[in-house]
Amino acid sequence: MALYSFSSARFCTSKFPICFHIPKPSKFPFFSNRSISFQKVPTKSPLPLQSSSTQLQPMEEFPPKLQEIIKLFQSVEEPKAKYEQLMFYGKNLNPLDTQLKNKENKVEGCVSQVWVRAYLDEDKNVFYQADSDSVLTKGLAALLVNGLSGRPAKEILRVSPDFAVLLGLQQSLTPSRNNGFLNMLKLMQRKALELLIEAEKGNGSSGNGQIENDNSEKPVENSNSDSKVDENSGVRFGSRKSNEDSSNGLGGRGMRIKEKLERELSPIELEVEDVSYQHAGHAGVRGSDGETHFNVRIVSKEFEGKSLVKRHRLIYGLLDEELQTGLHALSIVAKTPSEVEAN
Amino acid sequence: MQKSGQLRKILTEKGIVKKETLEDRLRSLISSSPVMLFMKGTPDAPRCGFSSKVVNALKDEGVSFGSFDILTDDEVRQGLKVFSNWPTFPQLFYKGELIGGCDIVLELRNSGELKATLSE
Repeated sequence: MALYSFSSARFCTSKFPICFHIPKPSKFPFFSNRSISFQKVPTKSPLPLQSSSTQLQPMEEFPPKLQEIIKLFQSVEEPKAKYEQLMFYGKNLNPLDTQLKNKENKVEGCVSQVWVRAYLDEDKNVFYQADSDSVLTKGLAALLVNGLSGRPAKEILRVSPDFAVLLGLQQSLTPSRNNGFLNMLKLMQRKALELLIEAEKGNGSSGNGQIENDNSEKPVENSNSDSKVDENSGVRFGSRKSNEDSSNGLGGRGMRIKEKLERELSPIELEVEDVSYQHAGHAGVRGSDGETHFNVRIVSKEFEGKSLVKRHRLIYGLLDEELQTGLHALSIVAKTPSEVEAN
Repeated sequence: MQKSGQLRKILTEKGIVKKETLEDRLRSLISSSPVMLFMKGTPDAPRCGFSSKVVNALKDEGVSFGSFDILTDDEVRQGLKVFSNWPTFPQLFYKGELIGGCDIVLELRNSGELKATLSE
């Protein structure tokens, strides 16, 4: 599909929001041949694209519909217009059955309520449905639903959260909305993986790599903005306690942090997670190579008898060099073994 | 003239009275309110997720607090990190003593100790 031409129908300005209600959607170049519904649509062959940036995941790896959406957002530079485009998506999102609005389908960490549901069709392609109580988050959900539906789970899992940067929505969305968007993507990827595993189990073939549970109580997977999700490595979700380290996907700084803390504090539990991508667009991240924001969870005897402030200071002290060279923020959970047992 | 601070200003300019050092300035900022928050942005418009969480926690507990926007003053921003030996913001002080950053404040709030800590 060629690049959309905008001469005939410009993005509507705020004066005429009603232009989105024109009954013949085919008049809009960006919706030609495509309706926002969840029937199976014949998939087109991947578009011949040049990747728009070299550090982020190459465009060709994204599901074709997602590529189209990204290009659409990139070709519209005005944040306001992007915002309105989102609103349009949201208005056209089909509502979800109330029964499906359950805890399993709820996106955690989102300012509004958002539910996502995933199912497989006969060809083992993943389809999504979503709903939300706010139009904007509906729009974000619809964007993802449209971009990711109808594709095999593996392709969906390969999508790195970086693509959000390509949409150029950062300025239009508050940090918590950006965060919610990423959590939506995560939930969708997680569901895709679950469906894939169930399907493969049903076929009697072995599962798709190991699934490890980790200590994290947050619905965030351990992914580094520089690495893709590799199906053969552990993918993390769930919040059961275990003694495994989640060192997958950590870059140089992440590893150094881990090593230092291990060496100096002999922890019985240690988890270091790079969450820099959640803060993309933040002043501390711009101009760096990532690895600016980390979550650290550490359980060690060394903390006994120390106040919270002292514990954190201890950790900051050990990581002083990192803090001087670009580490911007640390979220620390520091407990003693007895405190952990008490829970 | 002394009351309006003009006297001090003139004496300072004339080199008669020592200029307030950064440290003095920090100390007086920290003690300008019993509960004092150094954050990014203002309580009504935080410019950082962590700062925003602390503001919300304090508001939820009904604690009144003073605040300083470190984005407006780089000298304070860098100086305070050294002074309190704490590399990140937000920083919450009570009666001149560092209580901690976002994680600590939230943990105190979750264990029900926040209000008590800020009123002993």
